[in-house]
Parts: sequence; C-alpha cells; structure tokens
Amino acid sequence: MKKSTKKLMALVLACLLTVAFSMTGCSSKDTSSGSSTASKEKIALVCSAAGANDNGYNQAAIKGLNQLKTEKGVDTKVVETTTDYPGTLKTLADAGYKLIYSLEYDFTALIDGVGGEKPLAEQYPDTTFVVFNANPNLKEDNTAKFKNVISVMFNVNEASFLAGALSVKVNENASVLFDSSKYSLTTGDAGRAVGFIGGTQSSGIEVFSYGYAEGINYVAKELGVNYTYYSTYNAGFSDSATGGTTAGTYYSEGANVVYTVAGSVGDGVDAKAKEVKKLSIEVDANKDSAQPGYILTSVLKNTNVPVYALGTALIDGTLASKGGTVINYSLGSEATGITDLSTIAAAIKSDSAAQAKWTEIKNYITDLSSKIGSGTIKVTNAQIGETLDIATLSNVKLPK
Amino acid sequence: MNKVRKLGLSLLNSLLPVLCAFAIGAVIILIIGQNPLTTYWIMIKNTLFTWKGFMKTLHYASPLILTGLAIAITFKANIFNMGVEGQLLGGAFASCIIGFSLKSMNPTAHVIICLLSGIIVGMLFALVPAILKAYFHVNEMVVTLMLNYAIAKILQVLASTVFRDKAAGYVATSPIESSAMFNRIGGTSITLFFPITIVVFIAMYFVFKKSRLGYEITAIGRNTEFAEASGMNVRRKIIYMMLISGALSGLAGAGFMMSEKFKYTLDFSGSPGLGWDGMLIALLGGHDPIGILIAAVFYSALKTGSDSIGIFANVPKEIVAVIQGLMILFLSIRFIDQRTKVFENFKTRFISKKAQTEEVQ
Repeated sequence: MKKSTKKLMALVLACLLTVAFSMTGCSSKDTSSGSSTASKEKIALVCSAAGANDNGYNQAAIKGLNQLKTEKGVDTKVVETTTDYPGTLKTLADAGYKLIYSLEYDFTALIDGVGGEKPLAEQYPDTTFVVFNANPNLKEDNTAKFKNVISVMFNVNEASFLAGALSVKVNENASVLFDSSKYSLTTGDAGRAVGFIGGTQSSGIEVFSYGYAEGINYVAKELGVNYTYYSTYNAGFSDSATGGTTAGTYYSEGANVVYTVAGSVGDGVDAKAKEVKKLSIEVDANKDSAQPGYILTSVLKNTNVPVYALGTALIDGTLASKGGTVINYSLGSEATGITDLSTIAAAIKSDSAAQAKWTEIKNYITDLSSKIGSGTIKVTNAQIGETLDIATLSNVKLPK
Repeated sequence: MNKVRKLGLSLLNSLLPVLCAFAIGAVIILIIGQNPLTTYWIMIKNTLFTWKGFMKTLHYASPLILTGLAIAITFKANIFNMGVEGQLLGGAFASCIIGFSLKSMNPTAHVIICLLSGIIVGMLFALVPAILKAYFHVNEMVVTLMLNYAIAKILQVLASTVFRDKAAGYVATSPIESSAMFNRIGGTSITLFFPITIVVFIAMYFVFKKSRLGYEITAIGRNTEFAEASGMNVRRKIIYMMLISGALSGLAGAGFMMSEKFKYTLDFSGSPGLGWDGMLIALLGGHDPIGILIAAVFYSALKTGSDSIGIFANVPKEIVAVIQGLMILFLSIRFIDQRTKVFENFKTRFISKKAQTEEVQ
C-alpha cells in the first residue's frame, strides 16, 4: 500500500518536471524574440533605497521612463539594487545603456572612484549619468569634472516658501474658510505655530525647511504677527507611527499645520491631522487626496519631468550639449511647485465670504510665485550650500 | 558506515530547507508568469559561473564567513552571542574613524591599524556581556541582543553629529583615506580582504576541530555542569569565546568598511544586516566551519544574484528575499527535528528502508 503511494508520487513529480521543462522551451523562445530588437536606444533607471513604489520620488521617475517607452519606443530598465550599487551602474553601462538615471544619494563611486578604481564616469565616457538633488560633479575651481554627468536640481525651497505663505494665510483666516464643526484648529496666538518633520539632518531636507520658514516669516511680517516653528530632523523615512506621534505633539502644542519631508513618515502625519482635525502638508507627489480636506497642499518634486526631458534629448541627439551641466527646475517648470489646491478647495465653506477669501488667498500665492520667478523675493537654497541666517526670521520663533 | 550516514543526514538537514525554499520560489515565479529555471540560471550563472561574478560573490561572502564563525563559536557552546551585528557595526565605525582621521599614512601600516582597531572595538563590545554572564549570571542573550540597538543608536548620533560629512546629502561620515582602502584586484570586485578572511577561517578551523578550546566548547555546549565538574574553567572559557566572537565580528565590520563601503552610513550593514545574516549562515552550515564557508558563499551568491535578477530578468528582485525568508522558515523546522526527533525518526526509517531495498536488489 505504502509503496504504491510512493510510486504514485514519483509519477506525479515526473509529470510536473516534464511540464516545467516543456514550459522552459516556450518562454525561452519568447525572450529570444524580445532581445532581437537591440538596435533601440537603451535607458536605465536605478532606484534609491526607498524603492520603486514609494509614491513619490522613485515612482514619479519611473512614470517618466514609462512615458518615454510608450511614446518614443525606447528600451527601458528599472533596477532596484540591494548590495552592489556601483556594480549595478557598471553592469548597466556594459550592457549598452547610454543614459542612466541614478536616484541614489551616494556619488562617491561615480565621481571620485573607490577601492583604487577610476571613477565610473571616467570608465564609461560614452554613457551619460544623471544624478539628482545635488551637484557632486565639481572640480576645485567649480567647473564640471565630467562631461557625461548631468545634475538635476529642483528648487523645492521656492515651492516650500509658497507652502509656508499658504499655511499662514489659511491659519489666519481659518474661521472664515472652514466649517468649525469639521475642524478644531487652535485659535488666537496659541494657534500661531507650525511644525516641520524632516527625515534626516541634511541639506537635502533643510532646503525644504528653510524655504518653509522663510515663507511663514514673509507673511507673518506682513501681518505683524509672530509664529512658533517646531521642527525635528531625525524622523527617518519609513516609520509612519513616529510621524503620528511627533505630529501629535506639535498639534497639541497649538500648531495647526505640520509639514513633513520624510517619505512614508508623512502617512502617519496625515492620519494624525485627520484624527485631530487639523492640517498637514505633503511632499514629492500630489498626495492631497490621501486624506481629503486635511492635507493643505503637497510640495511637488516631479522627477518624471527631467527623466522625460533628458530621455527625449538622448533620442534627438541633443544630450551631449547638456553634458556636465546642472539643470535647475524652478517654479513654473511643472517639475516643482505646490498643487492646484483643488482638493482642499472642496473643504472650504460654500458661503460667499469664504469663497471670496479663498480666491484672495489663491491670487496672493500666484502673485508670490511670480515675485519669486522674477527674483523680487529670494529664497535660501540649502542644496547649493546656502545657509539660512536665523536673524532674518524676525517673526518666527524657534523653540529649543 | 554510521559516520557516513550521520554526515548524509546533516547534509540533508542543510540541503532540504534550501531546496524547499527554491521549489516554492519557483512556484511564485511561475505565478508571476516567468520561467523559474531561466530565472535561477541567470542568478547562478552571474554569481558562480562567470569569473567576475564569482569574484564578486567571494568578495561579499568574506564578512559573512566571519560573522558566521562568530555566531557558531558561541552557539556551539550554547552561549548565545546575539550581538554580532552590534559588534560588527562598532568595529566598522572604529576602523572608519581611524581610516579618515589619519592622513598620509603608509598604506600597509594604515590598513593594519584600521583592522586592529576594528577587532579591538568588537572585542570590547563582546567583553561587557561576557563578564556579566560569567561572573554575574546575567542572561547573555538579552544583554547582547539589546546592546545591538544601543550601539546602533550611539553610532547614529555620532555619525550624524560629530563625524558627519557636511557635504553629503545624507547621514554619512567622511570616506576613509585611500591609504586605508583595500584595492580591487585584477578588475574584479575582490580585494585583499578575502585572503585575510581565508587565513582567519583556516585558523578558526583548527580552533574548532583540533584545539583544546574547540573540544571544550563542544563539551560546554553538551553539558555545562559536567564540563565544570570535570575541571574546566567554564567562566574563563565563556570570556574567551565571546572575545573571539567579538574579534571576528569586529574584523568583519572593519574589512567590509575598507573593502566595500568606505564610509559609515546608517544602512552600512544593509537589511537584515551582516550579523543577522551570519546567524542564518551558521544555522545553515550546522555550526561547522566548512559548512559555514559553503553556506556563506551560497548566501552571498543569493545576495549578489538578486541584483542580477533585477537587471537581467523580468522577475522582481524581492523573489530572493522570499527565498531567504522561506529558508529561515524551513531551517526552523530542522530545529524541531533536533529536539523532537519526529522528522529524524521518519528519515531514518525512510533511509533504512531504502538501504534494505538496495541490498535486496
């Protein structure tokens, strides 16, 4: 009896194996037909540690890449590395990828070379590497080190400035704008406070915070009021529970708006905002509808715009002229800015006073935006090494 | 004959979880709509059957061999040093600081000083729980486990304040001087760190198999009271073992720093971390040096192979994480086997029956 079951199992296993091997035949044919079209331009993208599905930075870039694939018919590849990041860049360059976007933050292997190796940019002169958020491609005399490295920067300081101005404007007119039964915003001087939660202490995060503080200071000075600015810079990028707890503290201290630049930590902040019926500000992608009515706006960093633009340049043959440069995306380039506020607009009261005030605020923000564009207002840009002089923030208090 | 069967059984014990994990992984790849055999072949070919790929695998195996040995030497004696991860980070951080603060050094001297500082710091972090265990009967598992988090947080603070590289866009120390870096050899990933690891491995092989200490470790692991009654100084042996374990961990960290990372970042050790990987490797290798060597190379092939899968196959690289997770799951089944003997009974019956039928034939 037992022996027969064993025989039966062996038979079943043998069948399974046969099926598996016959399937090998089918799919290997598929792959060979896929790789025969190798003459197309090949573009690759290497994700940062946050991964391909981060609802922002990486995901938007992949969106741009997919747009290139469908519209221009290029060969694309998205890679998430775990162990060997420089090795991945090498493998891709060896495999004939002519344009490689690197969303990673570590540029040492690419620009300086490690372990006695030449810099990767020097090893692969025919491949163009695109890096984001910083410009490591500099010699001592501030000229470009490599002709095949392009740095992309977003002026999120300007977008954060608008978010700061909007925060104060909305906070000062909260009783006119919002239905008091749906929100429990702290009123009076106690409510003149905002929070900022950053993922790590770095110029890449400070650029948001400085712009935001300056935006708040600008409007507060105009109105002759003082704001308290609560901030933390070590929330990490993954723990949304931390976000909820920290934001909860700020909200109970009287802050009505909390701005989070810390990846998915922001999810916890948004949930907390809804729970205590106050407001939060999101970052990277348009996440206004994640908690509709409780997210004031999102500071956008649309990585798909440069990904698409540079990919198009590769196909047009104009990429070489951009080599070694820094591409700055400022307000109005569609790559950065704040959202169109349509989601929060739905939460504004429908009476004419509220609607008139809301239109006034929106016009005010548009006006500020053009002032920044024309250079009338200068916002500190921490990611190019500018530092914020705290003394200029006359109407913002930074508690210790 | 009995010995051969015992070896066969322990081999089966290590191989079965791996095979099961790969089989279930194959089912998942099939569900995704890809071919598991081609996917696995991409992984194996690029990690073991190309020269550069194999060198890369050995390069990433180096710290894993050391952490695997660090785990095995204590676990074998039923002393649980769960703090390998923390000791590794401490060693790495120490070598990093020495690496970038000493300028224009002789490369040989610089490398030796960095490695030694890593080893010493690793030993120091292991000494605390060792003394607590040996003289105050504090549970070493709890102390070492919790110390990991304490060390990681302290290093986080140090890396983001005092030793922070202001120019970097994220929390990182300055990179170490080139005089402290292990240079890559022959255009491959491998560095001098791998031969150093092998020398240490051979030394540890003799400690495990041929030395008095190795014998004593086994004896303490079997029965501590009996070992003590037969005249062993168990306390001192505990401290020796922990110090060796800490030294191996510290060396692993320092070597990984000087051959791969070159600066301390918050994700230096990766996720789940080289120390935790070492625990899996020690289990997979059955706390035996040769087993650990094979397991470390195999595990490293999985790690680097996941990058190859990400680049060359249409399967998400997470499949490797799935396989790793399944391996841990099936390895714990083997644990049940050792204690309850249910599976062992089944296997011996199965195997003896098979032997009988073979004899008949």
